Amino acid sequence: MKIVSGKILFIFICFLLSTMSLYSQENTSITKCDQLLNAGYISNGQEYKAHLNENNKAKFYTTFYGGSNYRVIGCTDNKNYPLIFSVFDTEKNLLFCNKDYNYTPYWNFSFSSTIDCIIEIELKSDKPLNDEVLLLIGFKEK
Amino acid sequence: MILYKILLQRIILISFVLAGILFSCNTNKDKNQEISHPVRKIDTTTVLIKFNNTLFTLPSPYQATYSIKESNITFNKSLLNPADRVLSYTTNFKKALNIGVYGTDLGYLNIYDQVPDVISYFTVVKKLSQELGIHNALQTPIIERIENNIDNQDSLLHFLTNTYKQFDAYLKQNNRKDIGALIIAGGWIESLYILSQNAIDTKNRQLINRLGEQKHPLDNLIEILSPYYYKSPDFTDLIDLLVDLAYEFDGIIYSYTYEPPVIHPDKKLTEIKSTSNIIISEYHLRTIANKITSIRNKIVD
Repeated sequence: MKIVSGKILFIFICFLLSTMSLYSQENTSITKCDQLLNAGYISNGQEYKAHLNENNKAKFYTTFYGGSNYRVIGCTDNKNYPLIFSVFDTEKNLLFCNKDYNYTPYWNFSFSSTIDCIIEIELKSDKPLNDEVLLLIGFKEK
Repeated sequence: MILYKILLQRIILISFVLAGILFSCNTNKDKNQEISHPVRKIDTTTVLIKFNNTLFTLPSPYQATYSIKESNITFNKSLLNPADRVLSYTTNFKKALNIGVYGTDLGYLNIYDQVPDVISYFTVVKKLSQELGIHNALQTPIIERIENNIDNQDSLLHFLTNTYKQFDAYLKQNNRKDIGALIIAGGWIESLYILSQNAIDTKNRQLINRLGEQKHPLDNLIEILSPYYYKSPDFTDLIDLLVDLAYEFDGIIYSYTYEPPVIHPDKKLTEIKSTSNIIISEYHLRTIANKITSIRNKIVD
């Protein structure tokens, strides 16, 4: 009886821990960032590495072509604070924020028209961090 | 024994409750397979523009050549920079620009499945990368994989873009960002040249629009190059020419209408529904095409 109960307890603790880990998405390190550029997405040939400013933010100005699919990936070696990446249009309307999706390190976008965008990457911390972030953009023709 | 059972039951109950709460947060999003995202305003009070915190990106030059192929326009080899011209590039400035030019030409050749020319253009890129001392950026397997996949259109494009990404990363790490910026500039200008010539020749609306959409990428390219404005007269001339070209793009009417995006959480996909429109006059089309040709010829001659 004790052995069976112990096993049940163990299974539930493992289940609980695995469930919790889903919600504490760890940042992807800069060296492993490339691995997320898969599923047929092709790099646009550049690596965008930026130092965070005193507000722990970096901005990237980019153009996404209509009729194309894109994958945007944000990485940092800092594991202590979640990396937030947001995509805005030039009128500052928010088009996407990974904060709403468990801080996922990548997201795919499909554009019907060509749009100029601002991608903002942030590490959420009250104190200034002297970290680097890496942005990768991959494209896939529809 | 009873205490143990009670304890076990409580642990299980707490586990279920916690797991339930956690899952309910997620499934709410998953249930809404298509949801419109609320409009949120960017926090403009914390904006601090510094070059190192603000980066300017360019679309891949291969995307411009894709749009030519998609428009069912036939391949035109005369638009490319001849491979044998590589011998005339003696300065690092010209070599860097033309490694970008040849990279775009390679992409154009690859998209049109021009295998014999792909081989000769790849040889030229390899030669220039050796002369610029950036061939070390390439891991040997990548070169071998390119050579082994020279007739595999999709794989080759994938390896090619990785090659240019490795050049870019290597140059940034080794404090040679100016060379990296020139490679990007050469590639982008060549793609614009091929695009504009096809747009003029065919009057294809899709290509004309794609050309008109280059205003922001051009502004970004000028931002990327501007830290090197005083580095040499070559840089100054190139940037001045690009700034002059940017004035012509100001004549294009660009309109944008925001529409809420549709999010598919299960596919990790956001469909951007906003629309943009371009109105470009025949005069501006010709002027822009002529100026691009002039800049491009200055690079390759």
